[in-house]
Amino acid sequence: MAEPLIDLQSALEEIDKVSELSALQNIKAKYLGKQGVVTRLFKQLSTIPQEEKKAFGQMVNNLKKQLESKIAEKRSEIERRMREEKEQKNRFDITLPGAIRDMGAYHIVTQVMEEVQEFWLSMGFEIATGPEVEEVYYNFEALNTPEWHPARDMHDTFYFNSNRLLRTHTSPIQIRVMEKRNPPLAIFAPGKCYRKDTPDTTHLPMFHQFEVLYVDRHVSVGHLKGVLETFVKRIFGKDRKIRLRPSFFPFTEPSFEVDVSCGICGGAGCRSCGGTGWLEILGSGIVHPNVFRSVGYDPEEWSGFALGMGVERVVMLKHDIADIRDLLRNDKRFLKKFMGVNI
Amino acid sequence: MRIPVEWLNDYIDLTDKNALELANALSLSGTEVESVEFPWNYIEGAFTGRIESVEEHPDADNLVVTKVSVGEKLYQIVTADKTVKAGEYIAVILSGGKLWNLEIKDRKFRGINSEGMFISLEELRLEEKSETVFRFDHPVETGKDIRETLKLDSAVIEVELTANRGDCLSMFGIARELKAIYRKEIEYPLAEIEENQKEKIDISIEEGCKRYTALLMDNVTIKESPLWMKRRLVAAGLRPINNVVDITNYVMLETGHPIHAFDADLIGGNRIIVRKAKSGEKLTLLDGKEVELIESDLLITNGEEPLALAGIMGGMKSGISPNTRRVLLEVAVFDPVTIRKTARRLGISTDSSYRFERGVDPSDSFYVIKRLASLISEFSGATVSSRITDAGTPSEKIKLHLRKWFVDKVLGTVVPIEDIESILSHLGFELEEAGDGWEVEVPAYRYDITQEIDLVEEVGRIYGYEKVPSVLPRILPSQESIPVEIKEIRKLKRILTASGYNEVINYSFLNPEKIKKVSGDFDPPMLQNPLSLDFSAMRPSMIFGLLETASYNFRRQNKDLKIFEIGNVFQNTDKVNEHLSVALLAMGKENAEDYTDKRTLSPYTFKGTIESILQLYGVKYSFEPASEDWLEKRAAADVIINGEKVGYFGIFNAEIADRVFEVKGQELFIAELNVDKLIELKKTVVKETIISPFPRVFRDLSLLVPHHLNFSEVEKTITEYAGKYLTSVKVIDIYKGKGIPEGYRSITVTLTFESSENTLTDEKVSSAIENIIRSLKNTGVNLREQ
Ligand SMILES: [Zn+2]
Repeated sequence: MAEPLIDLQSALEEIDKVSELSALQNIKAKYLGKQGVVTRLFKQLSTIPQEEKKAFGQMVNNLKKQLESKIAEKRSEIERRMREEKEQKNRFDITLPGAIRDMGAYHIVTQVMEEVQEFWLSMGFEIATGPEVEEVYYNFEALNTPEWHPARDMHDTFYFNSNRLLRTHTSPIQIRVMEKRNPPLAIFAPGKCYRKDTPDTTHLPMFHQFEVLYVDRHVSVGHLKGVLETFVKRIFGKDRKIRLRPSFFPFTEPSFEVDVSCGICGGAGCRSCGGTGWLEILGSGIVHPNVFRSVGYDPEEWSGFALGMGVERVVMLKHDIADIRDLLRNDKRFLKKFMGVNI
Repeated sequence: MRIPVEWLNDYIDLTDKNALELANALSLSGTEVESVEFPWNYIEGAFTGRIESVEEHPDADNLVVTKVSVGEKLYQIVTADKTVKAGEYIAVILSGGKLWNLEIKDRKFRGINSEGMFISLEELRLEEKSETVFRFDHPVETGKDIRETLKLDSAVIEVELTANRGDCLSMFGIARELKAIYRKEIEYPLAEIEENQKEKIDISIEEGCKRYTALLMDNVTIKESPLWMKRRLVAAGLRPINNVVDITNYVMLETGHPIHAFDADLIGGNRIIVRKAKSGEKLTLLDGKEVELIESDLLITNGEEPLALAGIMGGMKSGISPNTRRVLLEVAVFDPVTIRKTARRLGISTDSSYRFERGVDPSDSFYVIKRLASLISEFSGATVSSRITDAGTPSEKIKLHLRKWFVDKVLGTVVPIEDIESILSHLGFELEEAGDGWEVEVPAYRYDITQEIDLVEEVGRIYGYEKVPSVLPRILPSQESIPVEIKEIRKLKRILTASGYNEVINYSFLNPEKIKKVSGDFDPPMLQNPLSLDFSAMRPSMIFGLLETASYNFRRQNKDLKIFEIGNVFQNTDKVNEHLSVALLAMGKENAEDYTDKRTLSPYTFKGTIESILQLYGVKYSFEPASEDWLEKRAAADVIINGEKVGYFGIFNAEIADRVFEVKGQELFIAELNVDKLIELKKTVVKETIISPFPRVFRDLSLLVPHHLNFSEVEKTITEYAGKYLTSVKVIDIYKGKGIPEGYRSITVTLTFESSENTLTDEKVSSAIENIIRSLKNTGVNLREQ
């Protein structure tokens, strides 16, 4: 029997050492190609004595199979490695920051106003607006606040002349709407208001308010309570309660200051509520018959409630802002902080 | 107003309530409580004591050493008050006690230990300046807390009264509230005097004075008031002066009725003429200020010269002095509006004017003057020397009808009849059953009760709103749509925030001088009564607030900024007009948060943002050279729609930015659009246009355009000569530099051709292109050689 011309072990080792596809290709040609070692061995088969032929054939076949499988294995190994290298090269570092498309923020006052507005729209109220420069009649007289009434002290007013002023509340919108339309009606009126207050931590000479007016045939304090409770739960949280404290506004009677239970102590009394357990949030009441008279509604037939609330106050309560003036400083960092809080 | 609870106790028994309960009850029935405080809590560890012995200090002439018994114990106290005597009862703070922030400790005076110190009335705030330590004028039990013995331990409830409740500006008023709340009774102090006819007073009044009641008293001795009165006045926030003045204040706080006392010897005769002032008439008031009067002011005169500004302040000349022997007491009722007008005009507000403005009871004048006289005679030794003389009348009491069902309807609950009757009668109303309710007589002090609804409120606030059940009304869905400006505001805010702009809110007020520093073209409306110069003009444009915001942020290293504001701006017309405006400001990087985008803002990207907004309105807009002189001419434009200017944008003048707003080294892009105009011009009806089923043909042209030629001219030529199939001209590239001749730039446009009838042939498009190229050549624009 002829000695094999090949040492299988060293051939396998030779394949193992290969790291490039081209080198593997050369080795494949060297052993299995047309002039390859194994091919030549097959050609020797005819010269092999008959009795050894079978064994020799088997030996060469086996050799071929082993080399083939080793090469295939090596090929897929190299291909896998190349693929990995390529991936590695093109890998992107997902921990690097994204190229952020800078979105602008809604002012926090807008955000809270929108949130409040959503509520009233969902209750069936419609939105109404009015001018910031008002006539004395709409700001005061039609609202049952005649000249020289001490109630005007509550509204230190900016005047342009004896008849034109900056509205001190959104209530003139009530009058403008009622003058044009017949009851029943349910309106929500947002807007800027102005009072002659020197800016400090809790006052601004310009602020945002909204006014709510509901007029129908049998509107009572009970309805006002029901609506306020729902409102407070929606805006401040389900566990919050309200109480009505009798007060005085010329255009409503009875009139109420509305307190919401303190969110920090839950009503037990703490520093932020001055120990009372309650925080004053808005003014409200049953529309005064004189207001209806001034717009030509019959107070015997129609009744209603009205409420007005300062938006900055809600913003401060909800977001723990200690100085109201921060709201108008417009520091970019402040503006960004409230990005997407409510909208 | 400050309410000492121990004082209230004189009239209504509140011993079963603590101050917090009272405060809570008041606040839930309509009297807003500001605070509950104990005004003498700054003194701790001070006791009553008896001086057992007084000895000279061995080493100091100005000191004495005393032994003081406090309860069972004896203490050694060194004092500089050498008038103290054995057997006197005093007040002493012992070591361990506190006076304000001062902790009292054992202290050696020239070698002799003192275990505390004596207290003077000055330290108790009951005297302006004390010469000696305080002594009781009668024996007291020693070892008691001084606050208890002197009744300085009672709470003071500070209330803020609403403008309608002038009747509550007194102890009586608050007692009446508590009477109704607790359904208790009130005991008013007795006030009896003996009138006589030794002297006669002549009174005449005119419009503005409803009632004038006067009394003369003789043999007055001006001295200090009794301690209890001083204590109450101090607790109520007033400064004790002398017995007569203190008593007028005391009775005012007690009854709510302002009172004036004249020195009768200084008014020249016993004549009181109440009349309107003559224009230009002058009067020097008690506080030394001279006021010049007008014809609507009301004066108290002696027939010739003015004595007092009615209801506001007495005159200096006839005031009470230490030498006063005779007094004329005035208990008057003046018209609220007359008093308010004068007080407002002169900028004076006194306890008296404050009460008259809110309405004073005209029916209790006799009681008040008797109460006054009896106290003055008790504490000054004075005697009555005239009759109570009266001019005018108490006004008629009004009667109102109250319907039971109306009460229930307004309050939203069925209030028991007994409650309604009990509440109203405890509040001083007189009820008589009538028809479906009651005839209700209103007490004269209730100026605020004029209609049935006022009675309903009275019932409600005492009955308690916690008893009213909550109900949700059934509100029908509205048929009105959201007002267009609200919609526009929301839309603009959405677009602008999505474009990276942050919403800001600035004051509508401006300093007019700052406006002038930017441009003389603005004419802002001015407030008649501004807070200060900084807040005196209404913004004629939104840019000032944005520039201030940019300045604020720039100075705080926020140098990349995109902001906008939507709000009203104001025009100086007769009526003072306003319109809705949106303004944008940007500086620094195009995309500050994007580190892969190194671009700084350019006029083109900024203009793009403006155009994105304009496109929301579906109208054709164009740009013309800017008319604002505070924009840089090289990069600014006015926005024109239908031939009307609706706004502008551009780079803000760099010199003004630096000088006025301290922003330098950075361009400020600024724009403003009139939103009301945009709404007005907005294309409201958008109809569907058929989208052609045939393919579009695109052709790119790279054009060499001379620098001086605006692209708008190029575009105009293209559209004019392209024929009917051209549907759009779109700029896709601008190039300057290599290969482009000096004085030119290359603009590449994509032209889109489209027909709704058939597929466009190559010839048709090519002939259009040839046409365009030929016409462009005539304007100096050539194709760029590829
Ligand atoms: Zn709390």
